Amino acid sequence: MGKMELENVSVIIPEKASSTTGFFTKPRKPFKEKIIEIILLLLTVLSSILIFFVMFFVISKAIPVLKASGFSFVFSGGWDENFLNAWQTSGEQSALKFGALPLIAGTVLTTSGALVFCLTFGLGCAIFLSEMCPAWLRKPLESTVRLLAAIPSVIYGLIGLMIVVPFISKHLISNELSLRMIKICALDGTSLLAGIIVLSMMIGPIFIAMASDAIKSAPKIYKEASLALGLSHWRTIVKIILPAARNGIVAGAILAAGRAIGEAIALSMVTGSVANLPNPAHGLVFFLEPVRTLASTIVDNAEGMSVAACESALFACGSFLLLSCVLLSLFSRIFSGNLRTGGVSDK
Amino acid sequence: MENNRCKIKVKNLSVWYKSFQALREVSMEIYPQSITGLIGPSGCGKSTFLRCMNRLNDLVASFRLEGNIDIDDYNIYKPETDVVMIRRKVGMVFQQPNPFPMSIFDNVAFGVREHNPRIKKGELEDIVIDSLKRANLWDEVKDKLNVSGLSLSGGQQQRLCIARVLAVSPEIILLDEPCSALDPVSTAKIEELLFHLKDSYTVLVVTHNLGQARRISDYIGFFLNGNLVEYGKAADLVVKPSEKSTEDYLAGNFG
Amino acid sequence: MKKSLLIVSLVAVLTLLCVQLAFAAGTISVQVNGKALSMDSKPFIKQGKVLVPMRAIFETLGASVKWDDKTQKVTAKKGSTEIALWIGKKEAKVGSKNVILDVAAAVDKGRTFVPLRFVAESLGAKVDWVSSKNLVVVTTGGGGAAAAELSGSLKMSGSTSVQPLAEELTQVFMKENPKVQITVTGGGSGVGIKDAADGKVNIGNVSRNLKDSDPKGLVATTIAKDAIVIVVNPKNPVDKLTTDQVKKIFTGAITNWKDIGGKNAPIIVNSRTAPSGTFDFFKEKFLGEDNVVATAKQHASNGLVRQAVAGNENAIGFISMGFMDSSVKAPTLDGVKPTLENAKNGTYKVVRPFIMVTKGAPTGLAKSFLDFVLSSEGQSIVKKEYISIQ
Repeated sequence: MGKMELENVSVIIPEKASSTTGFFTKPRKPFKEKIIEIILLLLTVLSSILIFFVMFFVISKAIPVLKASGFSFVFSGGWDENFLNAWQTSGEQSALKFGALPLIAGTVLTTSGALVFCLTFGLGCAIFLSEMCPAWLRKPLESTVRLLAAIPSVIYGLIGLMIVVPFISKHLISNELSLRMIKICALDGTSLLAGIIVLSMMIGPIFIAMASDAIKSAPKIYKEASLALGLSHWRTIVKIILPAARNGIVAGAILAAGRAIGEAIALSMVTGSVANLPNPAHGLVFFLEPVRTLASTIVDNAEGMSVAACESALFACGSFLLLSCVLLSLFSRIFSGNLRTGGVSDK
Repeated sequence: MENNRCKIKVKNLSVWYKSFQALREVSMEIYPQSITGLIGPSGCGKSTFLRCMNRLNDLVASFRLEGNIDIDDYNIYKPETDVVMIRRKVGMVFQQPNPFPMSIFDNVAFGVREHNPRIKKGELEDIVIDSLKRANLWDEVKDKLNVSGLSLSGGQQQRLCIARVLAVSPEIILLDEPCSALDPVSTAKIEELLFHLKDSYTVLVVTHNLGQARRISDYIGFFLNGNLVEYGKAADLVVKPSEKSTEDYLAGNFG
Repeated sequence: MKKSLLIVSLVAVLTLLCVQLAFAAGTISVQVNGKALSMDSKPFIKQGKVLVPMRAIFETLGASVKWDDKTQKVTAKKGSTEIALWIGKKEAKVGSKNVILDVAAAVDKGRTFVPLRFVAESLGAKVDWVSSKNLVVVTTGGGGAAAAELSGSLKMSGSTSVQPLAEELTQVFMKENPKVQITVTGGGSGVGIKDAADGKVNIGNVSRNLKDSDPKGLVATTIAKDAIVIVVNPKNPVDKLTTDQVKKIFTGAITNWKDIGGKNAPIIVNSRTAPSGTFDFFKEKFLGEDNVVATAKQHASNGLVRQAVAGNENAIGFISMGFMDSSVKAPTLDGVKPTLENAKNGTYKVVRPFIMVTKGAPTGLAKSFLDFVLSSEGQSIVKKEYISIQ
């Protein structure tokens, strides 16, 4: 407190000085403002340092496994066996080799599946909500979407576990199919498909809310110009409104993708809890095969942290999650940059 | 009023936004190959009137209309009317220049491509060049057709918007205060352009600028509080208005 | 190091002293928290109960005493506990509760004598009778010896299966001994054994028996037992399994329920993630050197395995007996029904001990803690979810 009072005293002197320097002199910033500026600057610097610290920490922890595994971390499987091995023979160099291909594939497949849903069905919803919905229906629908976007993901996990998984196992998986596949993987409803459905339910509302905001804030003058040129409402949406809203739509998709990539609990509940790499050669059964994502793996195997090799392996998963975040934000930057310079193209 | 056959015939047109009545039983005949200027103070209903001509008011949820607007003897507010077809016939230029965020060429070609997706490339180029020429913009942009339309100056942008409308060959062109955002030089260019356009189109111009109305219009309609107070040949109306309020407005007593 | 040495020597001296005193006196002596209780009159035994002079015991236990001459009533108060006795009456009161005593308080040579066990236990102390020395040992506080003087810290690590129980036990122990700090970390049984042998922790938590391959010199104290149950869906007609069948199922040699008397349907195997102590034990008991089949679902908890088995007709899994409920069915194993009874009486064999290992016999604070765990208070905590060793 004492210090503050001293500073207050010193404020008076420069202000008096500035009042004598003339009308056109830039007024000195009050001391308090300066202090606030400095504090804000420090906080900003601190938070960015924190981010780098987190990255450094995660990657440094991941290095033993990444170094021992090399590219086979990305291109080979066998995670569960590796993990058990590392757990049982803690400390051995051979236990540091991990293959996370199924986990990476699981993450990419669930996320991209949910994104496909967003960019088709979700975009349709957003268009309806912002362009076609009758006025009396819009408000209730919008609040519903926002409410859905705020529901904690574990709730969607429960819904998935109680409704989606049993539905898939009852109606999509026959006893014969399951028997035929049992040597390759256990089909019990927990699957890539269930993961995609649950993720879609989870990130759909977020995407719809953001996309419909973006569509609504597309400049009205473009819409009027297009309509006045004799384009139908639909053609106007496709050719003018969506391109103008593209930035916001992409931002929504990236935010949704970010949440999808990092989702752990809900997915670990419905995707099958086994590091299985679905095989496209199985046709549509591909979607019924179990998977496990990087984030779910960290949660499921967290108990193994006490063994250094296991810990490093989990941090290796974490570093891949971080990497995907960095890529996403880079992607969004490139995209918005493109829009600013190039603009909407008709072709 | 005129022996010439009228292009647009408005009869007892009343418009409401919710409970506010924006137009009161307006009747008016608009003639082809001429420029009709619509004047009046802000909020008098002249822009609303203009936007009824291409049914752009349909976008407003609370909009309600009574009366008839016949274009070439066809009531455009008949329920079975295809709005899109009306808008192809009735082009519109807005107060704020609003070229699309795409290249100059694409701006002009946009509507043409939409209406005729299978158009040949050469044919399309001919239309674009012709439209730009008629909009008096060709000489200024012929070397940079691939540059974004947004990089042009305000006056050029507005002429680009006119070219965009001309390209889809409408019969009627509506201009909603097209020069209010522009400097005098650009304004003069657009006025000159409008003067040429009236040979082939029916032109309706909403304007704030009395001088502009006087310079370019063949007919002038004076709106006040949703009423069409006076409508007649520009020369007559300006010289000896029959209504007191018109006289006051022209004299600058309000506006 | 110095401190613990000091404590050890102190305990040794005191013990020697007590033994000598007991022998020297040849009469009943009372020890409170390791110190002999000094009394102006000698305690005596009446109907098998030890009676001691009122003032001495109450003051030593930190209670205030009031004597009402008119009603011949003794009231003692310690904290929120109040006890009342009447000379010559077998009725007594603890708080508002009426208690019937085996022997009433008495007056002898102008001194009031009260039954030691009743007053000490009512005031929260523990009473033990060492008949060979005619010694009554009274300990106050949580239960360990000399609880009032307990302080210091303990480190524990090891099995994540034991961890929740260990944490619950330490929490109660620390509440009763505020100066004691105990930290419990996981790591798995192997880590617990290794850390205890290396001296990194005072106590290692292990959810299996010690093996020959484990480091020498470790002393195991069994604190509880936990049964592992193989479970299937209630709709599954299979209701008996053999150890061999379980092994074949979990290693992928049998994949169809038909092969073991069920329907023609695939067996969905549900296992635990590698770090699980339950998995450790299951693997040791059923699979030996073989690994669980690669298609097995790997769940992070008992609850998730139960949920998975409850949700799929063709599923099989294994859970701790504490997690059994009607949503899953436990087939007999080698003809034995997996019940708590059978686990207790030893007919159901898939029971693993929860043990706490120390390097050498437990001493000092570790001993106090283990004594507490084995006391009826500690075992009552064990009983909540596991099989008590009593």
